[in-house]
Amino acid sequence: MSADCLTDAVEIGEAVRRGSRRAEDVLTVTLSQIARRDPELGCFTRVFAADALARAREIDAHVAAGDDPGPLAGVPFGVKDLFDVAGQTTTAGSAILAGAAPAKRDASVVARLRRAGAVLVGTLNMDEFAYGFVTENAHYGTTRNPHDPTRLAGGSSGGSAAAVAAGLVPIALGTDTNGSVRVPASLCGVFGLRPSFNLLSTEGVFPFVERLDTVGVFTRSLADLSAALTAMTGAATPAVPAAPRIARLGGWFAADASPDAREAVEAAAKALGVEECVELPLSEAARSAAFLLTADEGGRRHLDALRSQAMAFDPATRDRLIAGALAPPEAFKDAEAVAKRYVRQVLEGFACVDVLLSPTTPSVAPEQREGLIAIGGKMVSARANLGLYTQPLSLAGVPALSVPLSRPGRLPIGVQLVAERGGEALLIAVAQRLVDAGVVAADPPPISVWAA
Amino acid sequence: MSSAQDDPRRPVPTFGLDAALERADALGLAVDAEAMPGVARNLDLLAHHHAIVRAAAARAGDEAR
Repeated sequence: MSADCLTDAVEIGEAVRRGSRRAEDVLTVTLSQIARRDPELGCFTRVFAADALARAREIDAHVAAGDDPGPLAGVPFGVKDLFDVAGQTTTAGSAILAGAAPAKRDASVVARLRRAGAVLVGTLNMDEFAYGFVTENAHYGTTRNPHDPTRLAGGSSGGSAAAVAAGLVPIALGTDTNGSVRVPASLCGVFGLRPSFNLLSTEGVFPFVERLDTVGVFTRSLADLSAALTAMTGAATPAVPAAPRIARLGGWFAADASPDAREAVEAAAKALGVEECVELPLSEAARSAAFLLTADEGGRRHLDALRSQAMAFDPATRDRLIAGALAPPEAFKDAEAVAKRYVRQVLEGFACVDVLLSPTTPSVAPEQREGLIAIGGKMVSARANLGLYTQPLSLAGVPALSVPLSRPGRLPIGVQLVAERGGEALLIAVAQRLVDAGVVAADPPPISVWAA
Repeated sequence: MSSAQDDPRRPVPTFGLDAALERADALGLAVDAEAMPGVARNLDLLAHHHAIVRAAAARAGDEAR
């Protein structure tokens, strides 16, 4: 079997269902590729090789018996290490939870993917407790970018994005609180969807900021994205407008964009014939409000552990959580008020537009050694600032899809497509226009199953 | 990024380290010397974001009046 066959979930599913490919073969090659490539990338925290092969054999037996194992039959997938997996400990990227009791059942979305025939191969690296945009983890290591291993993969779902970019799995799950799916999708050059808030169940997912936490998915193609989403929602794809009204986001979403980020939005806008520009004037304040509300809930959630075992945290996470716990309560009340006003502003913005475009990240992947990005002429922490354009929109609970600009040989960067709640199919349809125009594609990285 | 922190004429916002340490005592949090620089830096960042939020709230108040 060629390595290319392993990167297309829909193709694998169809081939396994009709019996022209054995799930066991797919998983054998997948596990071999993970063993070969992952030591350089650091995507996986655990690989469930024996369980995955056993499940693949069960699927092959179903096919041999004439049963339908589901549309994702034999499709390998991985999950960020905060989804419950039956029989495994959910670490949330923390050493504090490493000794916790194993989960009794799968997270709801993991169970749904398995019921559709997909095969879980392992858990994926993340920033501790999902608090960061870099996937530098003091306990489980740093996930490196398959396009350049000296650069960050982004986070907090960086292991998921990098594993999909490198072709190690065709589907990976992550979570997006402030941009933790969209940011690594942009930096690793894959599709990353944050669906509407609450579209996908967070049951069995370790929480960070419950009012914002959203299960998201990474793939290398839109067909795989649709297939994974359908498997997790169980709903048919709704009809979309034939001629959606599309505008680019200006103001905050353009002010500090690097030349790469501007180029990405320009290319997408040109391909879609977009001329209109929309501003959401409260976006800067909304981003700050999201920052504060995240610090508040994070600090409160981990207060007991901060009291009893502060030194067991990743130092970067610990310092942020303690600061959240120590900030004055009035800061969070002010943030709450701004958040409410911003949600109204975003909803009003969709009165005359169906889809909005912006850069996903202000720049391409930063160097890991420096961990800095340029914003407003200053070098600032990538860990805290890569979510400049994703963070405010999270407050509104709207779906957002990061699509990778096709630029072979150059570092990836994503364009963020945003719609009203329930607009996932519309986002995928608009993204398909960009793929058809040759503007958007997940280009194969140097460190991947396609490399020699 | 246009922000209070970038304007050299304005003081860098802070929540005040003494007040933060008082809150740490009240919460039973031992903030040791090793963690202190990182905590202080993150508190300043939160204060910076609070200044942006307050400025937006003030503008909304002006518009309402």
